[in-house]
Amino acid sequence: MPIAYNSVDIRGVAAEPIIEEILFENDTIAKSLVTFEEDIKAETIFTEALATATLQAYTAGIPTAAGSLVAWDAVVTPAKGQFYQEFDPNSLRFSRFKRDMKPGAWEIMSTEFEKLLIGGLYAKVISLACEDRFWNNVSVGTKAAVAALVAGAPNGSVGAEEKTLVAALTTTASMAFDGIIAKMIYNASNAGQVAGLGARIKVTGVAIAAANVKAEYDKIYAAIPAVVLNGAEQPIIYAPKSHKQIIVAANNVPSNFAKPFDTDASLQNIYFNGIKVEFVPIPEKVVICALKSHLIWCTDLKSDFNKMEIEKIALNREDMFIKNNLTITSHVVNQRFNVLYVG
Amino acid sequence: MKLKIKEGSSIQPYGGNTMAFTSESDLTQDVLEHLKESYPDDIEDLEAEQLPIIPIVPVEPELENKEVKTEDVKKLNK
Repeated sequence: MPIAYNSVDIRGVAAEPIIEEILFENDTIAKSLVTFEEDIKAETIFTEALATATLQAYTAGIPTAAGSLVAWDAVVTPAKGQFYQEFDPNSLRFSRFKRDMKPGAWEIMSTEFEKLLIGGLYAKVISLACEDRFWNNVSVGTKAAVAALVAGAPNGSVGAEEKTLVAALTTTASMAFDGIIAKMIYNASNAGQVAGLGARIKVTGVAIAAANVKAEYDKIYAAIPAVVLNGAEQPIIYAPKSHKQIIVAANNVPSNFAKPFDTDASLQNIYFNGIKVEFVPIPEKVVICALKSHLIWCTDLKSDFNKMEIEKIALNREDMFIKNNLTITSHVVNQRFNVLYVG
Repeated sequence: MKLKIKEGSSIQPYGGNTMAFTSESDLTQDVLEHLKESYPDDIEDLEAEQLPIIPIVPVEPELENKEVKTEDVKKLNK
């Protein structure tokens, strides 16, 4: 799709700032909210292990084997994708962008256009799109597999809420990878390496508003394994962006004897029972609580998400393309310690 | 019970970055049952129990307002 620029022929002065639409920051990358595994071209192995140790009475004779030590590999290959657009820089010749074009008919590129619109706004939108896919993408195969599961209440069954959520997640054409949410619900990262229901801790939720946000977060907190809460690395509550307003509204209820969430004055740091709440682009009625080291963004190079190539389409042509190549997938480890709340 | 999203309805239970469900969405019955809890007005049951339809039998015109004579009654009584 070409870039559309409805310009005005510039005769006077242009106001310096170009007004961009307001966008969220890609906090997943900017604040490193998950673990990044780079330098993954294809088929990188993640190994997990678990063990039980059984103390038994000493014997001078032949001892009986007890306990277990299980290890397994998960093979991860990121999906490769790209963003691509074409444009004719000659259309910039009459606009505000002509001001910083070098003299000469051959010189048709504007530094302001490259820096602000392509390197600024467009790169930011690409970064946000990747963040959204990292959390929310689902492959066609996973969607069908989850739809075929029989819903039930126990943790060992998929929840009707989880089935509905996966049905609502969007696929990306020809990019068969699962984002964090789909990966938590369905994957093959288990000892048998057989695709099936994820070992997440399931919490059944509802629609969250200021009136019930404390009660619903209490359910999430109660589901976190004690070993996680008492560990050296503290878990993170990953909440939808809209929960920030809900949390602030809940804190503002005058009749509450204590504010349910701890915040600083700027509301940039929000905690629930000592656990940091971070806001990411996940669907409404979905909250994840996990250690950062359990949620992994797998890619070849993290800076690919911000790298843009601008070149002439062909040597004998003057129109140009903008291209961004990247690889992306998600991986979840230690699944049985991660809480997934779905309403 | 066979649930279906009503024609013209659009349900987006998980917000803007997810799909909206319509009557064209290919959803399993357990998903539709879950959606019915939150969106009862947008889900219909195609096998819902229907009230029995009582047929209306038109009155034959020749019997309507016909004057009954004594002779007719006597004939019927024979």
